[in-house]
Amino acid sequence: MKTNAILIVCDDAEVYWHTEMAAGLSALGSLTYTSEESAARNLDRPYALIIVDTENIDNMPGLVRSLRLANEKAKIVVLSSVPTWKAARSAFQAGADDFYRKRFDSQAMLEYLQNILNAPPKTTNRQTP
Amino acid sequence: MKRPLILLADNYQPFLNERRELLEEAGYRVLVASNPDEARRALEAGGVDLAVLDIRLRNDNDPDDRSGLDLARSAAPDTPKIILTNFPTWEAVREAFGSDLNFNPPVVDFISKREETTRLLNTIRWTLEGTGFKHNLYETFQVPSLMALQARWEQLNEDETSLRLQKSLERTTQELTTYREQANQRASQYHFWGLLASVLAILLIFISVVLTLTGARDVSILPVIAGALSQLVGTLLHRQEEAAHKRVAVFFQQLEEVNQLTTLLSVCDTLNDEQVREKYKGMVIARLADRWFGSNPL
Repeated sequence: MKTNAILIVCDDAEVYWHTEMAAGLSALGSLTYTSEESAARNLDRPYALIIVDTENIDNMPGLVRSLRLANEKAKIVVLSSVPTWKAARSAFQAGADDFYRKRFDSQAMLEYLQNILNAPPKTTNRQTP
Repeated sequence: MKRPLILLADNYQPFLNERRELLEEAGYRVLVASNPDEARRALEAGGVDLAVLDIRLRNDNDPDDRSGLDLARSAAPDTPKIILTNFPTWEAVREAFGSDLNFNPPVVDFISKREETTRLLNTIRWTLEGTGFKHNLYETFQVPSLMALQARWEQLNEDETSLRLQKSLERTTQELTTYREQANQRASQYHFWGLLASVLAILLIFISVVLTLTGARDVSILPVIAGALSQLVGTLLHRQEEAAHKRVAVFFQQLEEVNQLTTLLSVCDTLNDEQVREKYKGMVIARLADRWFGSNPL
């Protein structure tokens, strides 16, 4: 039974990584793909998981912040194939639940995302500046 | 008002001294620790308002040394902590802010030692000294947190947001003015008593000289000792006076910033064209939002 709504914000849903992940991810819930520009138009339902792929995303902190404000309870995960400490800091301070390296082992990636979905909600840093 | 106490933990003594000086200059009391055990004892003893922790507290050359992060996770969970490191990595940031979703360490910022010191000072100020302002903002906008505050701003129009902001700023101005006056009074008191102690010291030494000259050499040493003690007390009081003056300077700086914001919003109010007025108020609010909620929140 598909109960989880999953939003994936990315520049191009047709690239190899996303098409590879799609089959596995759809077993976790119903998928909605959106771009950075149109993400705001796709916030009309409560998502259990929001994946932000930072590839070609211009303003990741701003995007995460608006996603967080619209979805207080969603787990927001920011993925980057070239993770940096400053991007990680920005993501967490904008309200992301996690920041992680985009891995090409789709099985490991799905396990990771499944764990995120199963984890209890946290309130890390949302009450602090 | 008591000055906030900051625990500064770093195993590299020159850096510790340099940062201690910086924080003391900014008006804080500073407790230093050069290893994780000292830092843990200080945190667990209580009374620390904020901790600035290095990651490698045992050995700078050991990439496996994460003692600062362990400390942030396990000691004094209610004390806000800032990680200050020479070796920033995304994995360390993840650990600091909480990769384990069951775990919620109160890390408020992760800063590289190579970054400008203003980031550290701003984070500390927002976390500690901003408390009064934060509290006023939350109360005026009836929200429990910064995230909720930003959401509330988006619900309200520019005029309403600006009006409530002005209320918070006015209240903060009143508080800061009171704190500044109290610090000023304290500085004056220290100055008076310090001066009195110094005059007394000179007088006692003069008496000692007179006693020596009049042949009462047996008792002439006593006024010298009393004079030296009096001078010591005077010096200590002058130091307290200096600290109180620093505090006044800090409050003055904060007041100036708050006043600038109030003025900016008041200037917007004088604009007749509603659209232009809303546009400029929106710009001030957006600038504040960027400063408070941005990727670099400070």
